[in-house]
Formats: sequence, C-alpha cells, structure tokens
Amino acid sequence: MAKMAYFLALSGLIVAGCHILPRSLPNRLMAACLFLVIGFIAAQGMLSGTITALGLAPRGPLHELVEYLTDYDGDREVVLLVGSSFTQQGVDLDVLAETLGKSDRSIAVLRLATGGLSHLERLYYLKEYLAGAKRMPQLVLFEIAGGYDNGPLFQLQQMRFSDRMVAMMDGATAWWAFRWLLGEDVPGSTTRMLLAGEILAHLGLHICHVGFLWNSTRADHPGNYDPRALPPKAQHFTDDEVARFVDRAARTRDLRADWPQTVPTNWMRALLEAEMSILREHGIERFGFYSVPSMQGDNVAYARRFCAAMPNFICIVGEDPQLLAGLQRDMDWYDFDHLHGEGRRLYTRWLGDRLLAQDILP
Amino acid sequence: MNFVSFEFLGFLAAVYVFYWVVPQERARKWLLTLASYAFYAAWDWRFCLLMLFVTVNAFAAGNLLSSFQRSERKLILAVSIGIDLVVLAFFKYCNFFVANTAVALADLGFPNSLPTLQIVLPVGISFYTFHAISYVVDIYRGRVLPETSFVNVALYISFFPQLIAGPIVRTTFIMPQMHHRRPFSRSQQAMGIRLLLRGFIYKAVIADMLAQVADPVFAHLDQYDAHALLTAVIAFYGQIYFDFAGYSSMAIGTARLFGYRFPRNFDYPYRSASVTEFWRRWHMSLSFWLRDYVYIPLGGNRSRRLAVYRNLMMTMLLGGLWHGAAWNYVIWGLLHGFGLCANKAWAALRPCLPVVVNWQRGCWRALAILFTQLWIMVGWVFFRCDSIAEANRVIGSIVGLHPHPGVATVPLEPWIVLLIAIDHTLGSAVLRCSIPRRWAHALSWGSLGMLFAFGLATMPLVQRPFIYFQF
Repeated sequence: MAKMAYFLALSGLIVAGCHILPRSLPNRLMAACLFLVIGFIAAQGMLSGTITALGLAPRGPLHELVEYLTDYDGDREVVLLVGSSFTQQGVDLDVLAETLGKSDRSIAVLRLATGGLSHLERLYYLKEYLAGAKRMPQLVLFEIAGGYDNGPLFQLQQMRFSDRMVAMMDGATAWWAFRWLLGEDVPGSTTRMLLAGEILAHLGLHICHVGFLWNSTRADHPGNYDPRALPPKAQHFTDDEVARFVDRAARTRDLRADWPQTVPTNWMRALLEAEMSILREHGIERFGFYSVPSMQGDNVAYARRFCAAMPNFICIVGEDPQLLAGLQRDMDWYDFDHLHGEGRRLYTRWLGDRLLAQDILP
Repeated sequence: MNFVSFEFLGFLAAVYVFYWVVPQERARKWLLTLASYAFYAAWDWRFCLLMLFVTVNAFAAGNLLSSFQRSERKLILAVSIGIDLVVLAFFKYCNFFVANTAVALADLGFPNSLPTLQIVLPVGISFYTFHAISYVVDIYRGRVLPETSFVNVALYISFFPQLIAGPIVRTTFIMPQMHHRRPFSRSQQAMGIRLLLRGFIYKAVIADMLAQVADPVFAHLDQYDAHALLTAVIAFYGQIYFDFAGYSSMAIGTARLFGYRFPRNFDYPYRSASVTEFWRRWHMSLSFWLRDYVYIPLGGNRSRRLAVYRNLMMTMLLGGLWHGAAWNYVIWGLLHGFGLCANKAWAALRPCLPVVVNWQRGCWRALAILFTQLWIMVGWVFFRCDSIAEANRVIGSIVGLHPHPGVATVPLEPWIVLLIAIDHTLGSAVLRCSIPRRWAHALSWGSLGMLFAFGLATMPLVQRPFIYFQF
C-alpha cells in the first residue's frame, strides 16, 4: 500500500502535466507527429534508465523462483531440472539429491520449473538465471512434454496480456515465437495472423514498459519461494481407474491428432540447440532429457518418440513397467498428468537410479 | 469493446482511415453508422436489432409528427415515448418489479413464487433510448425539424463514442453538425488526441489504480475496520469521477477525430459548493436531459414551493432508477433530491439572514464545499454497495455506530484527496506554462508523447470495464 501512495503521487504529477503543459496547434502535422514520437521515446529512455538504476525486475512467482535459484551458493555440485508443472509436481528435489548422492558425490538439485512454464518463458528465465547464478550447474536435464513442445504459444493465449506473458516477451522471445509461427506446424493463416498480432501486442507492451511499474520489485528484494510448497490434491480416482489409465497410457502408441508427427519438430530442435548453446557459453556441457509418468497416453507416446530421435543424449522415459506397477493408487496421482505423494517419491528414486546407471554425472 | 484495449485501438484506426478517405459526406455517415453497429455487435449482435427498432420508432415518429395536427401529434409522441420506455422497462426493470412485487405480496400474507425472466441487460440501452426520446420530443417542441434522411437518425442514436455510456447528446446540438460536411481540421484533430490522452490517463492510470484500493474492501466489508472502509469510500469517490470523466473525455475526443463536437460532460464536480452546483458539473448531459425532459415538464421552478420540492425529488428518484434497478440507486437519487431541495430552501432563506452569512465569502464557500462533498460521498456509498444494508453498515462503521475490528489498511486518504485537488485546481484554473513561441510546438507535442509513455508505465496491466457501462 505504501507503493500505492507513490503511484498516487506519480499520477498527480502526470495529471498536473496534462493540465499545465503548453498547447500548440499542429501547424505542420508531420512535425507534430515527429515530436510526439520523440517525446514518447525520450520518456521510454528515461523509464529504462530509472528501472535499471532502481534495479527493478518483473514481480511474481518466476522472479522469486529465479532469485531462489541464483542465490544457491553451496559447495555441492548442482543438477538443474528445467521443466513445467510435471517436474514441479513429479520430482522431489530432496529425494533426487539423496539418490544421486549414493554415488559418493554431494549433489544439490535445483529446479527451474513451475506451472505453465512454456518453452519461450523458460528460455527467458534460463538466461536470467545464468546471468545471475552464483554457482553454475554441472548437469542440466530437460523435461519432455508433448503439449509444451508442440504448442509454445498456448500459454500466451491462455494468459493473454497478463503480467507474466508481457514480462517474458522481449525481442528474443518474440523472435522465437515468430520462428514457430512461420514454421510448418501452425494450422491456418488466420491463426498465424491472430497469433502474430498477439505476439506484437505483447512485445509492444513489454518494450513500452506497460504496467511494468505495478508489476515490478527490486531485484534484490527478498522473495519467499518455497521449493517444497505444492497444492493439495484436488482430483480423485479409484485405484482401479488409476490402474486402468496407467495401463492404457503405457499401451498408447499414437500422438495426439493435432500434434505434428515429426518429433521433435524442427523448431523444438532449434530451440534446444539454442538453449544448450547458451548453457555451453556458461561452461555447462552435460545435458539430458526425462519424462515424468502420465496417465495420458499421448504424452508417453511423445516422450518415447522424442527419446528415439535424440540418440546422442541420455533420455529417460518414465514408462518402466516396474515403476508403473508402483503407481497404481489414487494417492500417487495429483491428476491425470501430475504425480503426488509416495508416487512422486517413487518416480524420483527411479529417475535418480536411472541417471546413476547412465553415468551422466560429472 | 473497452476503449482502453487493443481491439478498440484497431477498430478506431480502421474506421478513422476509411472515414477520411471516403469523399462523400453521406457515405461517411453510413460508414460511421455501420461501424457503430459493428462496435455494438462486438458485445452482442442480437441487440443491434433492438437498437435498430428504437431508431426506426424514433425516425417514423419524427416524420409522422410533421404530418399531423396538434391532437394527433400528442398521441404520436406518447406512443413513441411509450415504446421506448417499454423497451427500457422490460430489459432493465422487469425483474426488479417482479421481485419487489413478490416481496410485497409475501409481506401482505400471500406467499408466492413469481417467475423472474432470464434477461440480459443490453449495454447502453439507457443511453440510446434517451437519445431516441430526445429526438422525438425536440421535434414535437419544434426545436428541430424531422430528419428526412434515416442515416442521420441512425447515426445520432448509435454513434459509437457515445453509444455505451454517453454523453447524452441533444438533437439541437448534433443535428446541425450532421447537416454540414465535417471538415478535417488540424485543431479538431489535436483537441481529439489531447482529450483521448486525458481520458486514458484518468481511466487507465488513475481510476483503475483507485479501484485496487476500493474493490477489495467493498468485496469483503466485514473483514475491514472503520478506517479501511473510509479509505475505500474516498478511493471510490475518486475512482468514479476519474472513470466516468475519463470515459467522457475519450468519447468526446473520439467524436472530435471524426469532426463532431460533443457537449462537455464534466466540469470538475468536486469543487461544487452545493448539490445543485454538483449537478451542473457532474454528468452534465444527463442532468440537463433530466431537467429539460422530466423536471420542467413536471412544472419545474414555476410551481409553488412544495411542488418544486416534489418535482426535484421525483426527478432525482427517476435519475437514481435510471442508473440501475435497485433500491440503493433509489436511495442515492433521493439523497441527491434532498440535497437539491435543501439548497433551494437555503437559497430562499439566505436573503433573510445577516450579511455575515455571505455565501460567496471564501470561508463559507470552503465549508459549503466540504459539507457538499461529504453528502456526495455518502451518496456514493449507496451507489457502490450492493444493498442498502451494506451501505448502512459502511456508514455506521465509519461514524462509529457499529464499530468492529478488522483488517487495517495504509491511510491513503490524503494522497487521494491531493490527487483530486491537483486535477480540480490545475484543470479549472486554465494555467499553462508560458514558453518561447519557437519552442512551443516541440514542447507541446513532445510532452504529449512523454505523458502517454509515463501513463502506460504507471497503469495497471489488468484493466477494469468502465463503471457506467453497466447502466
């Protein structure tokens, strides 16, 4: 609310400016437009300078998450998981660190993952993280998720003009978004045009700092991110249903009809290469992929094909019959796609064992 | 379509370019009319037919009025206004009437379950029906001639800048403009841009910011203490002014871009020293409409004193009901009616009082402004709350009648009052920086660009709809 007082004072200045600044008729229309644009750009420059000087960053869960990650400065080697809610819900960081620790190495597992973290957003925050990380990871593991891989703009439409989407849409993000849009995987020119408009609108809002002062905080402001905080279970199944869904998912071979049949798409391959290239620039050389078990067959089928298409990388699909045999109860699942409770711990131990078996750790 | 949205920006740009490219005036009017219907259809296309029906009714009545004698003219007027009022009453007041009838019957010992209708309130219906009534009544009174061109009436009623929330433009004001070609004037365009910018800052920056103070408190009244409630009331007092004045400024500015002038709708109302003065400065197009089409036909000031008070109360009662079909709006209207009556009584009493009680002296005027604004604020509590009981609880808590513990908020009242004071003082004083002529052009337009940039950075990203869109 103290912030509100500043805003009210700032608004008072803007209103005063509105009332007392000089007025002149536009004798030369082009000159008037030019001055208008110059004034706008000058103000944007001032705002950018002020934002840099004050050290402001977009506020919200992702800012707190990145701050938590960059602040890690322990002696242990860092393994970074990059993903979405599948990873956030499905991987227990402590259990994974403990399992990986069986190799007589002291490991810290960090997770750049949150609900709805699209690839565009993840690239943006991955760069933020690398720019400020006190200790670089030795191994980066990317989550495999068909929905995110094949619909990088889904979240943009779902959270249209939200603080989060505007915050991530800088020039580089817009470039990747347009690159996907111009690829072969987008259905219809109308969709392309609408999405192009939305990308440009978000880019415009980002560049013009629209709403930024509201949605900003000092970059060094202490956050309260809790890596162990998870939502309580909301969806319930019977154990029989779970067993049936898990079995059906394991047997699914086809991808979802609206997903491209090329796995991964050219765009996804290019994005992964770009991410790895950025990571290499920071001295990180080891990468791998993993998928979290799902009761949706499409995701499992996608992960299977993804791993088949990535022979040069360690790639782990969460579909081991022994693992799935242990995930047959309602209490193991948060919903169709996300693990819960003991199921989560079981999968994490299984993933840790697989990683150790593949000897991926440095 | 919210005025502060990409959709509206695109719509306005497209209509603007086509409008000024088209050479014929008649074609331009058709273009604006079709654009206005498209604007309305963006909300719900089905109700375009309702607006067209109201337009045809007004157009037909206008032409019939010129063809018949005195007695028939009255009948035509009554039928036309009746149709408009039936449309308004059906969509806006039907459920209110049914619900209250059910309650009244139950109170009289006749338990019942009268069915309410699932009716959507068409956006802007209160405004376009008033435009239609204004057109027919002005022809009946001989103030304007009936239009032979349907497009003029259609554009008058549907013109998109004023369609959703006014200002209520009078036929005597707009029709003469429609009869002449609208020239592309640089001064008009400049004024339009300035008004749009001012409206944008009022609404997107200030009103939506104040909404973040007021809305959470009004949504959970029980959870906040008296001081937080006071802060919320003052925030709403500012919010509704900046919201509606912002909308009006954008509407007037948009009309200017197309070469049309709209009347002023706000004149710094929170400097008013009486409720009468307030209504000369607040939503002026509605208050003048009510004066000319309700208050004066009821007898106006030319009646006996008690009858004048009755006329005032009835006019403001209707004004309250016009805002919404709920008892809190009725109370709001009655509060203002009472304020107007008190002001009339005071005006009659004042000459008999000693010279020391001179209304124009600064001290007395300051006191009068304070008292008037407190009265207005009490009115806004009834306007904002969902029910009379809630409004009573808010006022009771603030004045200490129903003290209850609750969440406290940071005191923002001085900042909000300061913001309103800056706007009202600098806006009405016509202060302008004086700068050398050679720099005037660059500074004037450059500062406009800067203000826009600062406004964009300061506004909350999530925009709320204009408050008056619901009426």
